[in-house]
Amino acid sequence: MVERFTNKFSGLKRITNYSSWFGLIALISIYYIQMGESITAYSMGIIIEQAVIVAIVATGAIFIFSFGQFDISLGAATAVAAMVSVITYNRTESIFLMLLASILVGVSIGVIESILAVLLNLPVFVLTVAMLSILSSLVRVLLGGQSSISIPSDAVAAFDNVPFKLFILICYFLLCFFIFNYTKVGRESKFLGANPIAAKQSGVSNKKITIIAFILVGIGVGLAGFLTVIRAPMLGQTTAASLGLDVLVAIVFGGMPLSGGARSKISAAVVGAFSIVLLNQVLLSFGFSSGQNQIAKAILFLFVVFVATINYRKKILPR
Amino acid sequence: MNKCLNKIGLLVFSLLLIGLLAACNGDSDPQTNGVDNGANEEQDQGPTQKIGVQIYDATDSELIAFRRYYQDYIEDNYNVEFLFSDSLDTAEAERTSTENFINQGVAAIISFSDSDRMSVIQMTEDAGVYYAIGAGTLSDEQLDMLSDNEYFVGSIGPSLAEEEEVGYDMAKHYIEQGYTNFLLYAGGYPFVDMHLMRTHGMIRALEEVGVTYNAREDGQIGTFESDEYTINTVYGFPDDSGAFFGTVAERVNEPGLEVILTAGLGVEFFGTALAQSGQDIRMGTVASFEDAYYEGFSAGQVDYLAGKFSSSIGPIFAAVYNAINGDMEVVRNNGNPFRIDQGYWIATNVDEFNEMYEMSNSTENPAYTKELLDMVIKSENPDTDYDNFESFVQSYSFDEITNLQD
Repeated sequence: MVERFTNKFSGLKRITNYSSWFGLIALISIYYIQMGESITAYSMGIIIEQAVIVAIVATGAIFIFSFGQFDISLGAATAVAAMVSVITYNRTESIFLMLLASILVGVSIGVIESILAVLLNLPVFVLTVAMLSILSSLVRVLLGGQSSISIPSDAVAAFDNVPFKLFILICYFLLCFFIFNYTKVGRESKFLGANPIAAKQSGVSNKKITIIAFILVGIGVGLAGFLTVIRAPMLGQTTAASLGLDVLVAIVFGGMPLSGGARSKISAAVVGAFSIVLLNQVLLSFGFSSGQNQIAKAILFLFVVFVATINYRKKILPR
Repeated sequence: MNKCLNKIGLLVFSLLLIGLLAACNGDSDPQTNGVDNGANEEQDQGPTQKIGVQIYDATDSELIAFRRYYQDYIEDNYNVEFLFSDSLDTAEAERTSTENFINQGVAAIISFSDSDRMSVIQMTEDAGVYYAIGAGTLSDEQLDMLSDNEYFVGSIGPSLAEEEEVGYDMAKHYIEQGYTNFLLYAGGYPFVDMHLMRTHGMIRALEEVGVTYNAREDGQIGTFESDEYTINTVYGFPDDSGAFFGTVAERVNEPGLEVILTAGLGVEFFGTALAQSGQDIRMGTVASFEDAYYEGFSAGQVDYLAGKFSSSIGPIFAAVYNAINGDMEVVRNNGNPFRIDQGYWIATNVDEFNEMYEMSNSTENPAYTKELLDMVIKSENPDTDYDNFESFVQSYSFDEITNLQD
């Protein structure tokens, strides 16, 4: 009987595999209904602008999620990368070196985190809690006692446009998409998430995958740091402060299983990033204050996690 | 099968969420939810115009007073709805707030935030949204750059020269009374322009009576030399370590201290130390006519305040209201955006303070009432022009506004 029921619902099951896409389409529809004629190319550009940085960091973070871990220090890492890039620009006046510095800092943070995780054999989550504290302090050190550091707006004005930011997102997404879906690294990441013991017995190196995943995330963090400066060339103590949480929420909204594994998909990052930006706009359009907005998003987040993990609740704890 | 059912649950929840949001729609629209005020019902001016207000600190009591004036008085008397931002402490937050306001269809933004103002002004021009500076000023260079921006309305606020004068007057007030032992709090000197200028004003007043000021090469507040006067300094803001308040307490308890002069945040940063010192110390500060200073004056901690009043942001609303009504020429200074100075109310004793405090905090009869604002709003007074507007803004003193009301 159960089999008959399952067969009956097999078509529906295929549809529900795309539930995060339906959610995104629903949000687009509500936004359209709410805003109507006031939607312009400019306002659409704003939504892309707000989603790009979250989407880039979340795309890299999918690698960590895919083997059942998560990193809460990504926002602070992005802030550090952005600040170093500002300092680099102010010393060299070179946009290229600024971008390079941001990526190098992002990758360096990733390498340090992964090596510590491997050497100390600590759960990634626990390590990133410590890193969050260290990186937040580093932000204050880089500020050097000032309330903000900045570069001239004119220096990056040429890059402050939607096509350039979309180009960066698409390039990074394609790189990650290829690695995640068509290389051994991606397959092994998902295998580790699906069954760590079987993966280990099959010769999959947890250490190698962890280091590679963090390097890939580091590239995303570096790009996000660079884009953060382009977006707002004056950085302070709270720069990118909400990014870490936004990335987590985006990945969950995008349909990524918290336990990782075979059902992990790189598209969750982009779908989720655009979903939370649209959700934010929809809630604002309904007259929610920012405080109510945060509460609504938090409740929705909890509900999505609750429903999505009913079957494998035991697997979602950090391992 | 369970996984399939879970996903169905997710889908159902999404639909429920949509329904819930749709249900909320009716509550969010002041025109349809039955809570709109009588004044709006009487007006037949089309849809309510949304105006975004950007604030640097949602918990700042001065900004809370500003918010109360806009939401409890202006919204009741004009066909507008104010949307307030969160605390905008970075350029990134300021930009996101601007984007959100534009997407919510605001007709104008009044800003009390200045993290990356020129970029925001550029964004609002691109989006066709009017922008006005609610408190603050622009440099000559910035104003020149914005001369062709048809969506930049202008700025009202103390000029940097006015800030310097406020610091000078405050220090001179105590020097003339014969006090010789001072503690100067320089706030965000040299990074915060208004603190820098107020402190420079205090230094100028002291130099006039023979005090030698030795500036530091690193730009931080320097030291003072005088046979007759004793001057100590504190600068900066509190941090997590608590060191700031330790320094404040140490300085306040220096023997012989008579007067604390602060470039801002007097009661907030010195109130506790003053209360604990038990000494008869005077305090002059630049802040606003708000509850903390009512307590400060009542307790005898503060006896000089150069302060903003809550409806001081009325004229900038009038300018923005003209702009969104299509009467931009009323607020064009020879075709250019305006920059008009608006100074502070000065209270030098508790009676003066109480009188000003009462008017500042009234939402029934604020300093800038509808009757006064209508004088410079074209749709209410067709004869008004830019000259009227400019002189109206410049008549900001307590006595001048009281006379206008009479």
